[in-house]
Parts: sequence; C-alpha cells; structure tokens
Amino acid sequence: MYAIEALSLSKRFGNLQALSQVDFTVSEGETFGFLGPNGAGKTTTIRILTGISAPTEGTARIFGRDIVQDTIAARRQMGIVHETSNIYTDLSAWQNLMFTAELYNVSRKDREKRGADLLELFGLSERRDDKTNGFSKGMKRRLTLAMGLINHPRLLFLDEPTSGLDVQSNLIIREVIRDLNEKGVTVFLTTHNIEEANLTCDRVAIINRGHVAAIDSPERLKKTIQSVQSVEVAFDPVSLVRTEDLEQLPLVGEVIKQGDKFRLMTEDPPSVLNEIMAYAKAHNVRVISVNTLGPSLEDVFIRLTGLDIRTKGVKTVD
Amino acid sequence: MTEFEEQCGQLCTELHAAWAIAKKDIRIYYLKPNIIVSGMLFPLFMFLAFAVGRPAEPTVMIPGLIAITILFSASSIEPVSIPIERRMKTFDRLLSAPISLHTVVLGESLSGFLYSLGIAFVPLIAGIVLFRVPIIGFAALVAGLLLTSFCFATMGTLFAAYPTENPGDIMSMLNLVRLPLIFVSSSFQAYSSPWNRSPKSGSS
Repeated sequence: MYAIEALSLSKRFGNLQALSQVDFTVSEGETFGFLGPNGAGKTTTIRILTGISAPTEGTARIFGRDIVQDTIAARRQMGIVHETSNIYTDLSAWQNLMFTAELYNVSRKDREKRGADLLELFGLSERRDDKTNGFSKGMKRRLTLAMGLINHPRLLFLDEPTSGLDVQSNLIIREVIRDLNEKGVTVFLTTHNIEEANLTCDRVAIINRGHVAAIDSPERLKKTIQSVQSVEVAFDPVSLVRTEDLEQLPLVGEVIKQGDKFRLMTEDPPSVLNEIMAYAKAHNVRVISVNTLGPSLEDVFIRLTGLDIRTKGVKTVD
Repeated sequence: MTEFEEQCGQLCTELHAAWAIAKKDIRIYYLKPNIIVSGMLFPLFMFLAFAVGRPAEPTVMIPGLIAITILFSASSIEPVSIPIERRMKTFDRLLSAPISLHTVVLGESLSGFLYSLGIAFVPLIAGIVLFRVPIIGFAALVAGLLLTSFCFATMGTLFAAYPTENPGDIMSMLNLVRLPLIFVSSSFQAYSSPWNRSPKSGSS
C-alpha cells in the first residue's frame, strides 16, 4: 500500500489553473521531496493531500483512505507542519502541544509524556511554560514541528520546514527528519531549496506552474543540470572588466552581471577558474572573490522544462 | 465493537475536540481589548443611553439589558478570533485536524456561548439584588439564557465565515444586524408589551 497516491489532481481557482493532472505515489517509509518555486502549486498540493481543500478533479488516497470521502480517517494517520509557523502566540509551548494533542485525540497520559519528550528533543524544555510570542523564528518552527509529531504520525507533511531558519534549527530539523525516516515514518517535504531535498529526500518531484515536470532521485536529477553550473567572480577594479570579454573565454556559455560580480555559466568550473586568473593577469585587474555555484532551482527548471530532458534519462511526467 | 459503539466513540472524540477549541479560545480571546469593548462595554453604554433620564421601570429595563448583553457578548468572540486565526494561519490547524467541520463550528461557537452566559449573570444579579426584579419563571429564564446565548454565538460564527483576515470587516457587517435588532426586538422600548401597560407585573 502506498502512503500517498495522487491521481490526476487538478485544482482551479477561478481562471487560474493552480494544479493540472498531478500524478505521483509515495511509498511507505520514503522521504519524498516536492520542489518548486513560489506559486508552483506546492502548498495547493499539500492542502489537497491534507483535506483542507478539495481537488477540482482527481483524487488522493492516504494509506488507502480517500482524502475527500474518508477525510477524518486519513488525517488520523498524518502530522502536518504548515509553511507558516502557525502556533498560538498567546499560549505557552506546552499549551500549544497539549491543544494539538487534544485535537488528535491523544490520551492524557500519552500526550503529557510525548509532549515532554518532544520539547526535550527540540531543545524547548526550558521554555515550556513561556508564552510563545517571545520565541525566535527558529524556536517557533521547532515547536511547529513538535506539534506535527504529537500524534505519532505514520506520514508527516512538511511545508518548507527550514526556510529562513538559523543553522541550529536547520540542523535539528534535518536530524529529526532523518531519524523519523529511519523509524519508518513517511515524510512528504515541500521546499524550493534543491540542496535540502538533495540532503534529505529519497525521491523528488519538481513542480512548475501546476505541472509535475519530473520525478526522480536527487542524484539523477542533478546529473541533468551539471551544464548549468557557474563561477561567480568579483574583480577590482570592476570598471576595467567587460561582460563581452568574459563571454569570449573558453568553456564559458553566458555571463550575467550581478551587482559588482559576474556569474559565468559553464559545464567545467575548474577550467574556467584558470581562464579567469589568466584574464585578470592580462587585464591587470585583481580577483577579490571567486565562488563556484551549483545549479539554482531556476536553472533546474530551465533545464527540466527544456528539450533534451529525455535524453538525460530522467523520468519525466507529461 | 459494534457500529453504534464506534459512533458513540467518534461523538465523544468530536465533543472533546470541540471543548479543546473552546478552551483555547477562552484562554486567548476572553481578555482581548476588542472583545471587552464589544462584549461588555458596548451593551452597557447602550443600556445607559436608553435608561438614563427615563422613567422606565427596572422590570422592563433589566430583561432588555440582559438580552442586549447576550446579543453583543455572544456574537463578539468568533468575529474576532476566526479572522485573526486566518491571518495567523492557525485556523488551518483546526481545518486539517482529524475532526469534522461541525466540530470546529461547535467549538468556536461554544466559547461565545460560555462568554455571554458569564457576562449575562452580571445584569441578572444586579437586577435581582439592586433593583429587586422578581423572577417569575426560573425554567423559562434558564432556557431563554441558554437559547439566546447559543443562537447569538452561532450567529457570530456564521458572520465570521466571511472570508476575511480583518475582524473589522466582519464586525461592520454584524453591526448592520445587531444594531437594528436592538430596536426591532423592542428590548428597551416594548411597543405593546403587557409590562408597559402594567409595570408591576414585570419579570426578568
């Protein structure tokens, strides 16, 4: 049995087609990433899969339960961590946890033990009785995650769990996700951070403008976008450097000027580094910083919605 | 387990969740300034506007004050709490919980219901103790308090269903109904009530 089956999901808001014929399955125990830019349809998909919003067409099943017809039974299997840290800021961390546990019908004894364990796990024990309006963004996010786990879910929905967080909160959350996965919990993760998906997901679906563009493992997806790596370089003085000159360098495809830096698109960053140094010496300018950059999500989309995706061997979804 | 037992179990679960939602609202919203103004001060000043300087009998005025207090207090919680929770996205937490939408509505309405019952006791006790207003039908009084509180609380929830994140939008629409209700219900100025003709037989 699949943890999630999305079958031809479509969602229309007036004239806007937010989702169009989205199909995928997530196996039990899998960590599945759902990647896309803002407005791609990630949150709409989560809202449908969690029964908050009904699909215009198609259906979804959670552990075999239809989310529209058998909503309550389906929801009992899941924990949800929404995109916003939607905690009650007038309540304490403990009250937030206990309230969520009561909504999920967790027994008093179980919720008190589970609540204490989760606060410990997320490093919030010392602040358990403090009102959460004084919590930092990272603490609120960790509490939101704790609230999503209070009912021992078999399936956890995480909507942008680490977006804009500090390093400590990021590490804790990633560690918890890995730990949950080892315990057999299915994780459905939406993010626009491809590196986060790379670190945590078994498989990834890329969604753009309501369509699933590709579904595969992170490594196979990354192989398709090696050609959109880049080198970011800053020169001093920048006024002596011309974009047209940089475009003439061997192995450089496109050059984009970004503030006082130049981004050189290439398939071979190490070779381009040597060319940049030679260029700097020849033009009597100093290189003050160099970074090699992996493909951004935007690059991935350009590639995945391009022409030669099939030749790269990625399983695409028409 | 029989189907009946399963249904009873589910009903208990739903009622427990509704009570949890009501408790949450009680903790968060009962002492919010806009709730106090709308639910307590507004009916009090409305009462004073009608009562001061008029030779009206307490037996007419106190039942009116209780009714207006319940109207405003019962319908004040949800029009504030629900849009705020929409804005904070905490309402999604209720909508995605394994409970029915009826339970969410019941839980939200329950907080308004309990709030208005508590507030209504103030003019009720004041009427009995300070103005010696007699209670001639205790059961009718209790039934009236419960029924009006519940109806006006659900009216507040109904208006709060309007999809906005600003409580002011809902309050404006709600006042279009609540303010005329004060007059058309003849709470303070009974058009042809027997109490107007015979003040001594008044009751609360």
